[in-house]
Amino acid sequence: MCVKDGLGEVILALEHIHKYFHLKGGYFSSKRHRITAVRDVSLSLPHGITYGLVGESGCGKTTLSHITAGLLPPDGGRVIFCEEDLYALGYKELKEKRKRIQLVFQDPYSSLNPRLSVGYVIKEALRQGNVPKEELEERAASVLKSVGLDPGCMSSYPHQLSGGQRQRVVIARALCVSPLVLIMDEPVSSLDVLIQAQILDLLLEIKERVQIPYIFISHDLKIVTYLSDIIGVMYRGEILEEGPSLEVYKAPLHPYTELLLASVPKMGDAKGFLASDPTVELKTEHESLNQGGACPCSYYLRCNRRSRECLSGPIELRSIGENRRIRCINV
Amino acid sequence: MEGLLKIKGLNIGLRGQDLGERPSIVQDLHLEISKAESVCLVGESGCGKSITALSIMGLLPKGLRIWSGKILFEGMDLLRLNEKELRRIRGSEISMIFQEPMSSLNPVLTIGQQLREVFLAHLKGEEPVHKKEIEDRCVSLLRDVGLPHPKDQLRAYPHMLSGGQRQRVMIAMAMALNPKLIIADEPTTALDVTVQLQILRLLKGLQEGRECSLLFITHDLSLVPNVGDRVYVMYKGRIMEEGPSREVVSSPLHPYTKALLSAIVDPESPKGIKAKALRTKDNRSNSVLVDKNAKGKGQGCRYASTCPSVEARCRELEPGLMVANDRKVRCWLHVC
Repeated sequence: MCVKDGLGEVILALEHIHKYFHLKGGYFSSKRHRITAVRDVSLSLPHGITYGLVGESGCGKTTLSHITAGLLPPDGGRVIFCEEDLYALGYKELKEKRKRIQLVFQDPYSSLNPRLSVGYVIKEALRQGNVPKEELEERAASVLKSVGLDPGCMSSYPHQLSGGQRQRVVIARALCVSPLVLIMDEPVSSLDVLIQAQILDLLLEIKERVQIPYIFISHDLKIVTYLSDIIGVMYRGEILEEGPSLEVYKAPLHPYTELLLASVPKMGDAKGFLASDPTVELKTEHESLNQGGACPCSYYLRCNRRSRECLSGPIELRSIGENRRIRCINV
Repeated sequence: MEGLLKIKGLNIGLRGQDLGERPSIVQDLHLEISKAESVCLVGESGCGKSITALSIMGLLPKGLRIWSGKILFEGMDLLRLNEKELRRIRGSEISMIFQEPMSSLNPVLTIGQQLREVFLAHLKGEEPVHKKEIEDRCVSLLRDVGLPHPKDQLRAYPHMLSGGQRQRVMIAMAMALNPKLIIADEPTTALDVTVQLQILRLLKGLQEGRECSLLFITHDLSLVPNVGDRVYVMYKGRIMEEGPSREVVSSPLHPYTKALLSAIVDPESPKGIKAKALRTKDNRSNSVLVDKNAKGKGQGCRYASTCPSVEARCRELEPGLMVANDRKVRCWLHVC
């Protein structure tokens, strides 16, 4: 699955990842439901590439990011990081490897300990990156500067910072251990538009400077396209479409990608956005959630191009053109 | 068009402080909403847009106080009403939809109980209403907001619904008594893009169908031309620009509106350090910490410390709202 099309070596690769969660039926019930959070996801992350994952909430993006970061063992498949299977390693080795994959979470409020000062948090991360004691102060200041913060804020506590500043601290902390991969789980969705743009610019700037691959997760197709080189569209645990970001944005192939694109507010045609568009008939969430699972296509119930053939057999992710993949038989 | 809500010279500040001492949280705000019109209020977090909404509802937090101004609703000053009179207006004449549907529904009561409460609270004085009748009205309300199986949903608890469904319930509660004005405070911020589209369609459809007015509060300018007829852009408690929403978005006058617009990500635009340098030079501030210094100064334009086209007079004197046709802007650049 690792495509090496002149983009450099593959640092991280997921191979046929599956993940299930088991839910109990009720307090007194012995029934158990199985929820498929991630189904047969394969992707590869070459050097210096940003892979954008888009999808609605509950589609498995976050689960996938936790599996990738070495925090949650998958029920099937392998995570190959630096040519080693992450979950075949022993605990100590895993812990050491895990440092090189850093996560930035959605909510900067809850991902910083309110009792620790910014300086402490950054220095702690630097210590984990084996920075000698005497250099700590200097390195911490330079890391903070590199994310656009004043080194003077080292003595402040998270509650004294704004949301955007906090997210900068979290990004700085992730960069401290010189990671090989940075996973960002909706890093800007809790921020204002102005701050959002600043953080996105910062991420692009860091990417140009340190050249590490990103996995960027968001529900906003616009933001993902802006930041990523490759986009994977996820729906109910499956990748439905994959391809170079601008190509997918300009000419989506899968009906679900079309729906996501139609949900992006357009500045130009004002009323057109809210006027109901016949090609995107939106079913309520409830209906599609209740009956899913049985049909081979996870998007069948909401699809506007569904036909009888969709139900005939399992639908594989197939290649279209040079570098696009799609899980739909009607295209 | 007939005016429904008129806010005149509203000043909101901290309780127990001199007005001259500190810039107020909302300063000299004028806002008008006509009947069946939808108006957007845009600004970043902390600019006072939610406080404005809460002051209309009479729900300001205890530490804040309205220093001066009038909020006229159909000619009646809401600030002069007592709690009992206000309570009659809230919900039946003006209703509000909050940002987070999870925290604005009571987790220990069913949807039905909470919907029924709206009717019970407001129909109390009149002739006794039959239980069955209320039940029917609840069911038809839930059907109007597009919830499937409305009868079963009445028995559901908020945690059993998804974010979009919860927001639908909130809209149903807001619409229950056919209010004349609905205030929606960032109703879609916590939601997915696809759900956001559904909720906006629903809200807009109901507003146009029932001919009520809408005050839509958001920080996302890209929603504005789709939702609002007119828009007010707010910054640090001040209205910076005002006008028909499409005109404001297509040709912004104030540098702050331009900054807000440039913050909307365009995937097809060039990216990377070069593009960033271009954009920051244009209209966005580089420094994050600059805001702190700007506070505490009573004079001058509030946007002066961040403004890319700042001049000497901007720091000395705050411009008034300049009127040109149906647009208003508070900037020295547009003074003839």
